[in-house]
Amino acid sequence: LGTRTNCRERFLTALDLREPDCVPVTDLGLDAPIVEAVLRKETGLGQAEQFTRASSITGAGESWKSTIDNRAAMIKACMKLGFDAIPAMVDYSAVTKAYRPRFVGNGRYIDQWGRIMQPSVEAKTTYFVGGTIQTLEDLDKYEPPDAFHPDIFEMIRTVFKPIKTQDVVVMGLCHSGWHMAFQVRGGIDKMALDLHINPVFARKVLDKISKSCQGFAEAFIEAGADVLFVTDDYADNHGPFMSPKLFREYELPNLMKIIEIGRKHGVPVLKHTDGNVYPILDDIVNSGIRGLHPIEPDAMDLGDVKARYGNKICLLGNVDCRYVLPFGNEQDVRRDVRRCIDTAAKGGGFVLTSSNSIHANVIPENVYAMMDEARRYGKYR
Amino acid sequence: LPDILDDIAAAIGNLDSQGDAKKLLTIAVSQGFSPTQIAEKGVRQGLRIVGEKYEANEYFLSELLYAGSLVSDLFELLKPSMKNSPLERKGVIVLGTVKGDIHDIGKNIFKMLAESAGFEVHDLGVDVESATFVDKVKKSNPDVLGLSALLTTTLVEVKNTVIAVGISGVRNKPKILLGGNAVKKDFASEIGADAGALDAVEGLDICSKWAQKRAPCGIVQSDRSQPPKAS
Repeated sequence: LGTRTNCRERFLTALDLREPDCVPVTDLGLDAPIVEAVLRKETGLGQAEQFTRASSITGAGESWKSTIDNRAAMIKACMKLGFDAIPAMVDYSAVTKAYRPRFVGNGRYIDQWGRIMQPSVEAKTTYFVGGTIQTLEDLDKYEPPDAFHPDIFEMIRTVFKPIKTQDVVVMGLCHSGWHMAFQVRGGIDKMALDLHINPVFARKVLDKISKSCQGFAEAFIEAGADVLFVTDDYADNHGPFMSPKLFREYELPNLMKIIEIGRKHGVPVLKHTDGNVYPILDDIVNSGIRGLHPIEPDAMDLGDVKARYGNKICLLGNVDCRYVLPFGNEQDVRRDVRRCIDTAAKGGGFVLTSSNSIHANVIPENVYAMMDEARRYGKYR
Repeated sequence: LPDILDDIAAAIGNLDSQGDAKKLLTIAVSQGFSPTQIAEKGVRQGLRIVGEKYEANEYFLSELLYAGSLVSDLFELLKPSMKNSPLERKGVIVLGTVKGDIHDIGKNIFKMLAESAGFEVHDLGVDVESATFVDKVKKSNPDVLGLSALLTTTLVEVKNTVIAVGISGVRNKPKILLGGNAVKKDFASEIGADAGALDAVEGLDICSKWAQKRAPCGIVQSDRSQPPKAS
């Protein structure tokens, strides 16, 4: 792994709302083709071939071993790129040694969470397309993954081990409840309707899944995570999926439980959510999160959030990965990096990331341009 | 406006918080209001109230979906009355998610709202080839072609579909409406579509305005024996 200086201090200083030497950089994840491109560029074909091309990185663990290999490859690519914090492990990738995807036709399979997934060669990713909990009976039979299952905990520790001794922040990506619940239920629409039509059922689904999520938060910390990153999406570009009242009733307590787990161990908790969360932003900020990601461009205003909440939480974001990173040229990327830094870096409390993740269709050269501009333009002193 | 239709609209507008929407609809039928009056001035007016509250961030996605489900139930209740008096069709929409993209929640919400509002919707599903859109436009002669894309990487397919419709010679009638997370309004004009909608409610609003512009001669009277499906 490459030489690194000051990465941990840089990242943790930003979380403390102070100015480090320069703006830190991280991301939620790198999709498989980006990992492959980075490793190919940096280490040649031999190393890149270690990467199995399975879709584990996007949540579809083929097996215990291949999932570890794929996470290791992604970590290596993040390190090569120079990230200050590494999205080392994510709860939806964790599988036992006995796990095999259960194929249900048309290439679709049921994953370890009970989600129906569809790999797409064309889109270079794996989509969630359905869930397996349709009835109360399904729910009663349903067993979400146990983070402290010996195989899963071994996986987490194995993935973390090579970077625990490095100058880098190790992040464990988990959920609080809502996101995995709506996926296992079969879609946002189904779960959102449940909240109105069958609230008791909705509550039971959320309770069962949020407990599993809390287990992952605990396991990540026990295995050595420096930061928890809670990644449930709460909104689309129009607004939250549910009213502030329902959010406070059904999901905010789940988020606060993860924050309490972090607080108990002195581990900062960052929150990711897509979309426009203005109507529930006070609730999210006041929940005790230490940072918010990505303040999605076109849905929210980075400068406005900085002005209103910059003295309370660190902001992480928001180089445009909808248009600029997949379609823009180098100058477009550099311009967007400067926009983010100009808008939100002053006084500290800012980490540069993409506006969601470095997904499969981002141009790899643009990721290098993003990193380079962050290091050049993001110097505080 | 007769009070009972007003009451139906208000009941839907407040998400049937009193639980009396079905009862009110039954009373309106028994009082002799036509299915068209009940649908337009009661049920659809209620859905418009919900849409306004959604746009004003008073309601959110879950409330919108719940309202759609409520309206669907009310149309089911109205069905027997519609046998001899089918509802007027506001227009035909052909809809689908473009090739390479399998996301459909936004599209499905738009479909539900559009059908409830009186449009006949032909949903081609997800991952739809441009040639399939063209064939369907030729067969169904729609007023609106709706193309959905969540992934920015499939915007090229949106453009390809608009081009394919253009070169097939059927571009003159349908308005092309773009929707989905990937779509920006300026992208719609750049590629020769007629409009881009940021959400399902705005998409329906755009379609309704197009339908009003076509009215009265442009609105196609229903030629079907069955009324439009409510959901």
